[in-house]
Amino acid sequence: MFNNKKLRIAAALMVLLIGLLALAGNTVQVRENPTILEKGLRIVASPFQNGFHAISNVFDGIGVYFADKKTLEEENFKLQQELDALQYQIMRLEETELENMRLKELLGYKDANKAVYQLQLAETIAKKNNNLQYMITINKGSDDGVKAGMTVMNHYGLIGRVSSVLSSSSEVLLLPDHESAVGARVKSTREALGVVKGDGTSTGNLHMVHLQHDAEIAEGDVIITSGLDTVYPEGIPIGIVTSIGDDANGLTKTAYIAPYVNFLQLEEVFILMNSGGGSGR
Amino acid sequence: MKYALLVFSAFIGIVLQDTVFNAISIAEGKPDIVLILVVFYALFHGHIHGGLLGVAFGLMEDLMTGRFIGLNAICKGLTGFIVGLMSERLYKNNFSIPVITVFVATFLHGIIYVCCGAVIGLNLEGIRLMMVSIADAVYNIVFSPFFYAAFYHFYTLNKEE
Repeated sequence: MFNNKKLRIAAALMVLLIGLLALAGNTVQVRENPTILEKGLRIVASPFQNGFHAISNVFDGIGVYFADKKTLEEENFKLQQELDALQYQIMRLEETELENMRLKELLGYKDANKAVYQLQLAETIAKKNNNLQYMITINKGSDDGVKAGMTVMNHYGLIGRVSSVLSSSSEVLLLPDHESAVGARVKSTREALGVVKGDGTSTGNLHMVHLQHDAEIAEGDVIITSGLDTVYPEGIPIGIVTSIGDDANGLTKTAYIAPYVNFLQLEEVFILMNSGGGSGR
Repeated sequence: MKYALLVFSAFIGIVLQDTVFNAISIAEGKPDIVLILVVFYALFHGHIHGGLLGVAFGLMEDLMTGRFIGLNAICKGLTGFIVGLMSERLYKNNFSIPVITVFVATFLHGIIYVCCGAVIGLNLEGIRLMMVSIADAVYNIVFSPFFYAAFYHFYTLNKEE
């Protein structure tokens, strides 16, 4: 038999467990306004995240170094040392060059679309991508005019929307997250209205649901935002239809979409400053 | 001082989880510093303190980076509690014991995470998450000796006092 102390501990444990489960259950939905405690902790963590983000770039470089290990083993010790130094320099230059190319592409896109979109460049400082949640933290916040609900994209296409904002950083809910949903249509025909959602798996793929069974949609069609959800502006590319399947109810069908954006490799993003703000889902 | 260091380690561990550890992730696995701290604390202080520290650190992790407030608190709390229950039967001077405990505890934490996630209605890939737990566990084994040395030092120091 349990004695009183064990019973008390078991009861306290049960109460704590149920309380925490209820709390977790209540926070399944995306919240635009984090609690003061969350805000405080994240503001404190933000400079650390920025610092460690810089360190993680060095780790990426170390990965490249090890990929070339076999070649380096064939060199003598002196040449190896020289090679190490040169390779490190090359790696840094390549990284800078790649960054320049990315920024040039982004800048070109920004200039080409300045009449339509008011874009603000931001850098990803933390990522959380597993099949529970797809989110990134960016280094722009309310001090830069960012508001919850604003659309986030890059020159490839739609990324997601700002879900919560702190003074110097913001969290972005990515399209593959199961809480994301965006009104969409086929670009060429302007028909086939549906809703694009994450498929809830680790692949980062998307699917377009609520398509009427006779909707004109085919493999290879380009999917763009419809603007009908009032959250995302019209005409932002999302991805390409890879396959289509009928739903069990016989009334609707689902299109499977390969997104233009690689959600696992988001480094620089655009915040669409003349979108959403405050009208988030 | 000891507790301040413990909290600071957990804080840095949480920040590293979403930054540097992303860069060294293999098979989606990453070290979980907070879990290592909870497991070792439970080993030395028993199930009640281990469970409570697990809840506190899990909650801190949820508040700092999580969306589902309480999920990590439950998982780390239960893991700390169970490890604490087992700790009375473990011989802590044997170096292999804490390493094996960290491996088993990480896997156990993964199971609890999947179960609790299902209870609160999350759409989970259970088998994949379990595979990721194994990768996490391997990483945790690599990191655990550093932390165990610190814990063992503090523990034996307290005993002597």
